[in-house]
Amino acid sequence: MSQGDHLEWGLHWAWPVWLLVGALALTVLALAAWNTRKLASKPRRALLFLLRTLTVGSVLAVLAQPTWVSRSLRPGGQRVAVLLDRSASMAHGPEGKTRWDQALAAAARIERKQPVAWYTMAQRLEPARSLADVKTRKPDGPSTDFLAALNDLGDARRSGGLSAAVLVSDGLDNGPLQARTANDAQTLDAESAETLDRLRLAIHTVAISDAKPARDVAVTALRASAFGFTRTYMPVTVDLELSGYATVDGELKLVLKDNGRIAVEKTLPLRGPAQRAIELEFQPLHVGPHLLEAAVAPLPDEATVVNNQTWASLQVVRDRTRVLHLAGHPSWDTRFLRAHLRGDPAVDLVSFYIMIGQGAAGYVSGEDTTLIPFPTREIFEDSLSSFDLVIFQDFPFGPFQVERYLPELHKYVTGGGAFLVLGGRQSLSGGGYYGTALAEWLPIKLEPLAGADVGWQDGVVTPMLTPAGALHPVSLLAADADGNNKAWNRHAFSGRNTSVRAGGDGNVLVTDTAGHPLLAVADIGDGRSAVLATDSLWQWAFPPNAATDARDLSRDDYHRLLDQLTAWLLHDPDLNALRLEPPTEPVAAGEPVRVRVTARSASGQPVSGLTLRWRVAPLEPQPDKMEAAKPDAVKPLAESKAWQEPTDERGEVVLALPDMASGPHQVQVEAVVDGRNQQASAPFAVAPATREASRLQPSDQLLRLLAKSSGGLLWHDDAPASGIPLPRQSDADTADLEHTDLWTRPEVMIWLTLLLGLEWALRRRWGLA
Amino acid sequence: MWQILAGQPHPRAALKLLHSQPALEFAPDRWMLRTAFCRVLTAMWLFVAGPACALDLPGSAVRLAWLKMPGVTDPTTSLTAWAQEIRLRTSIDIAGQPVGIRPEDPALFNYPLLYWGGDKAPAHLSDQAVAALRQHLSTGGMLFIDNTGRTEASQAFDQGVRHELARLFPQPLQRVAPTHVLYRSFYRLDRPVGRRADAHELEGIRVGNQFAVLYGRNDLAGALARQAVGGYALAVIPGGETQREQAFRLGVNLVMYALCLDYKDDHTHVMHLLRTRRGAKALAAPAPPPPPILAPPPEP
Repeated sequence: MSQGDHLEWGLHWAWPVWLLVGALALTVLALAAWNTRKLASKPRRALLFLLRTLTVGSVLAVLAQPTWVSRSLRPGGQRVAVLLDRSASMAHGPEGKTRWDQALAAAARIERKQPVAWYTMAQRLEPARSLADVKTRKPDGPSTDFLAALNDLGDARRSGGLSAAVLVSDGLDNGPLQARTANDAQTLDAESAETLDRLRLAIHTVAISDAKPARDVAVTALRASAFGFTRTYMPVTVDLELSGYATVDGELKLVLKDNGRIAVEKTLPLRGPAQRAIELEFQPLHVGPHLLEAAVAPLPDEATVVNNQTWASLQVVRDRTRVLHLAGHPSWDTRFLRAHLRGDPAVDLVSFYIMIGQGAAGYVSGEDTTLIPFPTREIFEDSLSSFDLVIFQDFPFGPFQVERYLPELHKYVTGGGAFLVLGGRQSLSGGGYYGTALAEWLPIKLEPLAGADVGWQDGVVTPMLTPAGALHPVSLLAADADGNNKAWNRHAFSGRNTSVRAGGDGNVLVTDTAGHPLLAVADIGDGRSAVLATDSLWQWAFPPNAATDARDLSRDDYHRLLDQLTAWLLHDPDLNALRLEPPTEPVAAGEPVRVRVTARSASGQPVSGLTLRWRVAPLEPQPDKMEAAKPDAVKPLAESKAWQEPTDERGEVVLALPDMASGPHQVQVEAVVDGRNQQASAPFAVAPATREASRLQPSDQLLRLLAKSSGGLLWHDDAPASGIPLPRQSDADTADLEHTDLWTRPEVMIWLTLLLGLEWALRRRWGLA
Repeated sequence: MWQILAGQPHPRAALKLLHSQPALEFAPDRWMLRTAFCRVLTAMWLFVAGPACALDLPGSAVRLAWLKMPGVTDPTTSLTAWAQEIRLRTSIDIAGQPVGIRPEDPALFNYPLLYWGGDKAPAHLSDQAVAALRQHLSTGGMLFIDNTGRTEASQAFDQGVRHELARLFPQPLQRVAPTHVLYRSFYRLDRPVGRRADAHELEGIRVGNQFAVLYGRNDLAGALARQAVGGYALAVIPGGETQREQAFRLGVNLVMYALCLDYKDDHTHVMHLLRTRRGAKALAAPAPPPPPILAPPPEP
């Protein structure tokens, strides 16, 4: 038994209860004395009374729940735990005056005043034998997690007496504490505060700053919704942290990229607050996974450019399809197309029909009609980018001053828009398209009209699928090539545009029997265009001379062809048999990148045992040139380094991508499904292996909050000369207490049994009941 | 007759047209000669063009077609004038000569817009005709029925038409509201008129979101009919030439509605019309003066 050992009672009844229990005990003893009055021998009466008294006393003692507390002093009590942040950010600063150097100097000052338990920390706590041991370590930790280190310190504290802890750091945390703490937070969040409470130590902090502040611009966060809608402006916030530029004149260029394409550019003044939240807006164009990148252009005197960009993933879906439909004149083709588009509740249709021609204008008074001026400027300057699909239906754009806006239309298409030309007498060469900029991004080549040629030929046109069209998702009217040929053989067109030929990057899917293109498609930059060189597709929807079943089939083909044409132009992912799920968060360099690939047939069934070829490529925007506009032409997969993986019975395979450098990438996958070559790609980002460079400017915010929440103090740049203040020495601070419950021990039960048994035996022997 | 042939893009259709035009204003002997000559030409074209041309497909131009049934007066002069006015006033590519077609004829589906006029009890439609018309109108076609009674709407025609329409569709004719897009599809109209103006509204049968059948009782064709030597064939009462102009406008709006559906209901147009619409124009407003010398810029 050592000094300080003592007995504690666990039961804390109120005094009336104790009074009642005491009265009960006295009653029991009085009855016992009354019961032994018949015995003649006084020693015997006294012995029985003594036994009963012991029994009652023991029961009362058990009821009070006695606990024996033994106190043992811990070795090394009154020591101070010193934690030195050795994350990579501590290496900043000039030679001999790095943050790490300053931290070591502060630690040495503490050691001169009081005994120290040494630790370094980065992602976790790292014990050290001495300051000399600490000095052998390098400030190269890949990240900083204050809470994880303090949790570890809690374990260390239980094995050895510690009176206080001192954290020496630049305050740059990359762990959950930083994530949970707002820039203007005055207190720690509840979860972090609970971690400190468990520690039961005052955490003092020494905030290390730079002797000469480094100049740096850091993109600390890119905040955006995880989901967006196509062609709908969505807000994003870019958090910037500027250090050393508060009084510098100059400009900073901020760029927001969407899948490698510059979506927004903004120029900011350097002079201004250190922390800024920049609000931007942009339009995602395509359905599917997107990778956003916020980047600032490097400045000449920046300490590091590693933190000049960051990434965020975005999943884009389509809520409604906005279609701009420009028709050269009302016709049966426009009527059935309009009915088709209006029949789809997911389509927002904005139509403009040219309702009077040049010759008719003299016969019509505008006041009596509902005609409106053709809003050329409003369409092509103000709202073009809001449309998913632009349709020119037998539309001679020349008289309507549209030609001056063709650059905007070209920018729209190459930027991801969809453009469809439906033919007629006033379209293509007959509509004056030849020689204009528009002709350059059509999937067919136009020829000039010669002599009396009007660019149109009447008569029955029998469509024929080309090899490319036999299995193309646009022209696929049946599940296989044979069925598709039969389906197309059911149909004919009435008249076609002449002065057109295959050429350029276009893919001709359907021709007439003489090989003149009727239906052609092309990838134009990020967008797509298509031409149907006839105005009689409506006859499929209103087929003559056929039995009911054949008519239904024909109408189905009409809607199917238009749906597929629209879906292909809009990059509808449902048309692709391969679907990719890249990581939704940037993956740290060196960590595995996993991409799930799902293969589905045209009928929606999983395709198992499918061999995929895939490769990883940098995420770069397609050049805005017609020559390189076709994605397949950028770099054929077969010519690049590629891997092969088979799909499982669910049609899935998870690709484990090799180590990649930090930056935006895309994975490209290729396979043959249903006889068609399918390609898919998806973007993802690899973040730098260390997150230490994401912010460079030291901050005392977290250190102040840690000290404040645990009852500690904050010093800047050095420890106090008087040493670390320690709490008043007490048992709680320097000793461990061991509690032993006495009332639950088996000896107590044995003791009570013996007392009762002995009393019962004596009473029987001496003739009492 | 050559105009008819020239307007037909397909020899088979042209051939059918020859069979379907027995009562044009030609002497029988000349008619026979021309018919024979055209048949020879058509046969030669078919031989040269090959079997693909044997398909019967409509051209891209809009062509008015009238239902040719026993007891129906040939409305060719009216429909020709109607088509001419549409060509003059709008950008619609419309064939000048209308065509008569029997409801049972498979070529019915070459003509999505049909005209059925009459002033006496119509003949009973055969089951085949009912099925064909129902199919036609259910899949995008449109039928304008015109009661051409002389002094007032023909009750016999009215009852007969309603009876036949009841065989086509279960839903009855319903009133076309004055706010319907039909009255704004090209001209702003307050009410439908024809040679007469006693019926104040059109009736129709909706299929889906649009009227597939429209029924007017003011003899629209009578207001449009021309004499062979020029001039209008019938007087328009009570509004005279102003009313005739309104009848032409109704004809234009009917074709526009058939081709554009509810285009003018589009939000952008409605907003524009709300901003620009002046007060409702009176029926008695004079007919427009001769065409202005300076044409306004093209408009949609």
